[in-house]
Amino acid sequence: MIVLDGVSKTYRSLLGRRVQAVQEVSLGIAAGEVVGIAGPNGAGKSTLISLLLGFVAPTAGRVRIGGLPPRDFVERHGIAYVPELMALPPSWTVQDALRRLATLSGVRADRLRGEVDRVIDALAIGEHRDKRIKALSKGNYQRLGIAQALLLDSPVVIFDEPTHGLDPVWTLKFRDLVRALRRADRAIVIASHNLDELERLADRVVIVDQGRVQRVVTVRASDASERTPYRVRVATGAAAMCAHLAGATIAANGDVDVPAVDLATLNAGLAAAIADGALVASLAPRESQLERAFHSAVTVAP
Amino acid sequence: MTARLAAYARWQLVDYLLQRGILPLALVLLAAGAPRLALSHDAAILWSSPEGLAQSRMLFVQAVALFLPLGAFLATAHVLSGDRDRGYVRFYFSKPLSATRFYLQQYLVHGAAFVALFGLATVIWGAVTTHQSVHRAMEAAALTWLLVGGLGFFLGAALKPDGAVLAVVYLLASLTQGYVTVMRGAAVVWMRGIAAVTPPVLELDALRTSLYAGGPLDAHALAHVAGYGALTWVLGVVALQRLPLQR
Repeated sequence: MIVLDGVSKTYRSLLGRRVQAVQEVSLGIAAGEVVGIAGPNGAGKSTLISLLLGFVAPTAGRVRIGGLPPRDFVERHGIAYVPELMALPPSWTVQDALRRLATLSGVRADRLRGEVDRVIDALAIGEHRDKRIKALSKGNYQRLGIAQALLLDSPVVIFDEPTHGLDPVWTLKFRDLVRALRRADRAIVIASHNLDELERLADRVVIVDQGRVQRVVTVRASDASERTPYRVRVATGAAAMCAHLAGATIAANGDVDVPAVDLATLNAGLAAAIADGALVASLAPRESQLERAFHSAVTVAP
Repeated sequence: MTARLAAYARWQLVDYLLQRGILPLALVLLAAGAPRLALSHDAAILWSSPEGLAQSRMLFVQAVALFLPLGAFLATAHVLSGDRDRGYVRFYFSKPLSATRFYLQQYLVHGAAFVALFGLATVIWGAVTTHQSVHRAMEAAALTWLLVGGLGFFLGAALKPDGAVLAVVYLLASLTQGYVTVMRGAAVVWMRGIAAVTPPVLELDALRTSLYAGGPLDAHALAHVAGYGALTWVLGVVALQRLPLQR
């Protein structure tokens, strides 16, 4: 569905200064996939999205969506898109904004009201429908941004920092919404700083840094042989835990930090410690699979 | 896409009327209303006398010479570049739309509304002072739009500070063409060069004056103004198609 082939993008300032935002990115995204894009600030995520929407042209390489150059694809089908920076005229009301953007999305006049009501209901912004955009809170503005994207039934959906400004309730609801948008003939791209969110939603996560794809991580269920560091919260028996799990240490708050171990070693150690009287309150990986991949792929500034 | 854009035209019209059309209309009406109020006691007598008629026409021509370019400037400046600067293009052009067709329609709507508003202002002017030809006034407005609107469209597609550049270019054209007209053969070469490449605003003024007077139009001046205007519209389309939407 989406193909980036050796794509580079260099911006030039009026004074001739060059900034290489994206370098030799090659990537394919199939219909039916949800692909995350993660990376630190300035990594090139936004430029990649601008390239996908045809807002900027690549300096080298080529981008194709459904076999077409991005602008041709967008002009023919449109892309359901939530930008990172919400920017709609502040004097428009929520309802006007949605009616205008529904018209531009191709919603017929006789279905306009129904479609606008549908997305207003989906994002629960009914009580704000007559408010001007300038009066909206950040979270409600973001929900409006998501609502306008849902007006278009496109084979490509792009979310750029979609949960930015959303409260925890709507962050959770957004996950349901993405799951509902999943379709065999649709590619969904989500750019986010929130690795936990990407791990929950995406099939693959592309980690970009310094304009390059550093790693593509396939998100999958836990692998028994995979070695992962854990943190164990115990009510009693921290010392027993350390005695049965090699290399485990007691953290300042009393939790037990277990170094990277496979599941068999972890379970054997836990069983022995529990037999010695330890009471386990909770257990969690210290880093998710994606977080580990991210940290090893990305150059972190000191 | 045509149906989508046509359906959106009403929103573009509303935006023009509320944000850009009101000021020039109010100024024209103020220019008509002020002398009417000042002379309210003797107005009917004054405007029906030959002197009054001539005075009204002169006032009209002066008001128009100022407000027509101003109205055209307000209708064209910072339309396209404003959408780009504020990031609205990201919302518009993720929809199945051509930016070129969207903005050509927007400028067409602004131009049509500008001409219609000016016709309305002329009708009201006539009701308050003396009758002026509405269709000639609208033709003058259309001619102004063809040149100033086209230049604004091109500059908006190509540049960020399109409004400022448009104002500077218009002023530069007025000054250099005025200088060259006065100096004739004695004008310095580079000033003649600038006068030649800048939009023919003096010829536009002359055409407007001929229109109000009901006289024949200078075919050469008309061709120059129309040709220059048409060229800027074509350049605007090329700039929109070639330059990235996001800069």
